[in-house]
Formats: sequence, structure tokens, C-alpha cells
Amino acid sequence: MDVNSWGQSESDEEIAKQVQLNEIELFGILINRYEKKIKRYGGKFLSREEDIEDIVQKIFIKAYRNIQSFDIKRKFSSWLYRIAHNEFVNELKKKKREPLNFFDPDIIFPHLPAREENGIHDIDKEMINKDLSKLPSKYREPIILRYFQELEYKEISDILNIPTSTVGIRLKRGIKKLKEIYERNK
Amino acid sequence: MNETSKEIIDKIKKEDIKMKPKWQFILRSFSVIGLAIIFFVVALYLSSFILFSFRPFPLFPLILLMISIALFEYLLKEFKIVYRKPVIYTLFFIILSLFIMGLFLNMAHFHERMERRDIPGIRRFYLQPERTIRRPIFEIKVKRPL
Repeated sequence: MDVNSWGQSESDEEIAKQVQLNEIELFGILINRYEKKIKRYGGKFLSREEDIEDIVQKIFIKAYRNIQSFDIKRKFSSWLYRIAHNEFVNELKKKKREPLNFFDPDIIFPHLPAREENGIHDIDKEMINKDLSKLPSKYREPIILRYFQELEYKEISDILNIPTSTVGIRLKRGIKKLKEIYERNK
Repeated sequence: MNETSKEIIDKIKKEDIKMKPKWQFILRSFSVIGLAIIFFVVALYLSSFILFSFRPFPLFPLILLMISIALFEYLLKEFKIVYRKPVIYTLFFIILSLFIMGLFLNMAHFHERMERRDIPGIRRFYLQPERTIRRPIFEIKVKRPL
């Protein structure tokens, strides 16, 4: 199959289906589509450019190896981000230790749907970017996925394996904490 | 194709990196479902047993029951329908189902039959001294000599 003539207008899921049928070359289209996004995502976890490059390569190879586990009825982006998320978090864990929280009340108890006070485009990304690293990862990760990768709540829920209502509450609390940090440092 | 994608595709070809076959993932899913079913059955057995021998309260089966429920919940977290909901909802649903099904098992005299069958390994559950005092199967009356 000619990569240049096929696959440019097809959806990610259709391309992934062809890759599952052994069209290796078409996997290149998926890499083209997601390489920058995944690198940007990685940039929020790691600072060294070379580390990010290596891990991004590892992510795509892992995605290729596991492509048969992808269900084409679901979103390819969520599936790929889940792999990327795990890889970056593992890498981060090697560098610094954060306490594991098995009994997080945010996941255990239900929450009313949190009203998004700031739309994706209204938020001051400069302000977020500046102090993002000061936030605990449970708030940092949904903020990156929502405001920098512009993903929906359900996609974030699939990537982080947390309830959809928890995504909303963590975004709200994370932004509140960031504003507090910002105000303190002003 | 850009630089990175060319590099990755070349690496896949050069190092002959293979996709894992679909059957491995299907097998994994079936194993998870199978294990979940096993933990649910164990939890159901234990919960119905706790309802059966409520006094004195069977602490050891209760601990085992809590472990089984936790493992069952952990395995179900693989599935979208479960992880998208707060844990308290799924736990409530699991405990309610166990309670209702446990009651039905007791109404069907399941544990009385198990007690009579005397199955090794399970026997110890039915041989607690307090329980035999509370629910004697038969009594031996010894007449004191005058």
C-alpha cells in the first residue's frame, strides 16, 4: 500500500486497523500525527530533550508491538496516550519518588460534575506552565491533558484510569492550587 | 514520512520487531475475567457463610471476604465500565449483590448441605467450637449415676 496516496484522510482508527493487518508502513502516518503531541506531553514530565526523544521512540515501538490489543471501536489517541502516560510516569518515578496513594478519596467517592470555570482557550497557559511542576502529579497530569493536549474528560479518564467525575474535580482543584501559587509568588 | 517516523519504521524492520499476536491479548482478557469470576465465587461463598453463622461473628472468613472483594474490584478496574465510576459505587454494587445472592444461597440451605458433606479443607469453617455449642447437630445425654 502506498503511504503517500493512502491514509492521509483516513481516521487514526482506520489506519490502526490496516497496521493490524501488517501494513507496517502505514504506522508511519500515525507517528507523523502524534509525534509532536507526545513530545509536548513528555515535556511536561521530563526536561531533558534527549530523554524525551528516547522515550517517544520507545512509546511508538511499544504501541506497534501491542497494536493488536487496540480495539478500533475506541479512540486511538486515548490508547496511545495511555501508553505514553505510563512510560513517562515510569521514567519520572526513576528520577524522583512520589508517595503512592491507594486510598485516594477522589477516586473512591462520587463528586458532582465540576463546572469548568476556564474553557480550554481562556486559561492563562503561561501562568499554568510556570508553576506546573510544583503541583502533585495527581493534579498536574489532568491539567496537561486538558489544557495542553486539549483532550475531553472521557479521554483523560481512559488515559489515567480514573472516574470521569474525578477528572473534573482534579482539574478544578489543580487550577485553584496553581492560582494560589501564582498569587503567592507575585 | 518525517525523520522520526522513518527512523522508527526502519528500526522495526531492521530489528525485526514483531507485533504481539492477538490471541495473547484475548487470553489475557479471559484470564482476568476468569480470575474475577473465581474471586467473586469465593466472596459469595464467604459472604453467605458469614450470614449463615452470624453469631459468633466469623472474623477469619470476614477478612478473607474483604481480600476477595478487593481483588475482584482490582481486576474489574481493567474495564471502562468500572474505572469510569467512583470506587464507592462499584463496591456498593458488589456488596449488595453478594448480600442478596448470599441470602438466596442460605434460603436454599447451601451451607447446611456443605456442613453435612464434610469436605476436607472447607471442614474447618464448619467446625468452630462456638458454633457447635450454638447449633448442636445432636446431643448425647449422659445420665449421672445416682
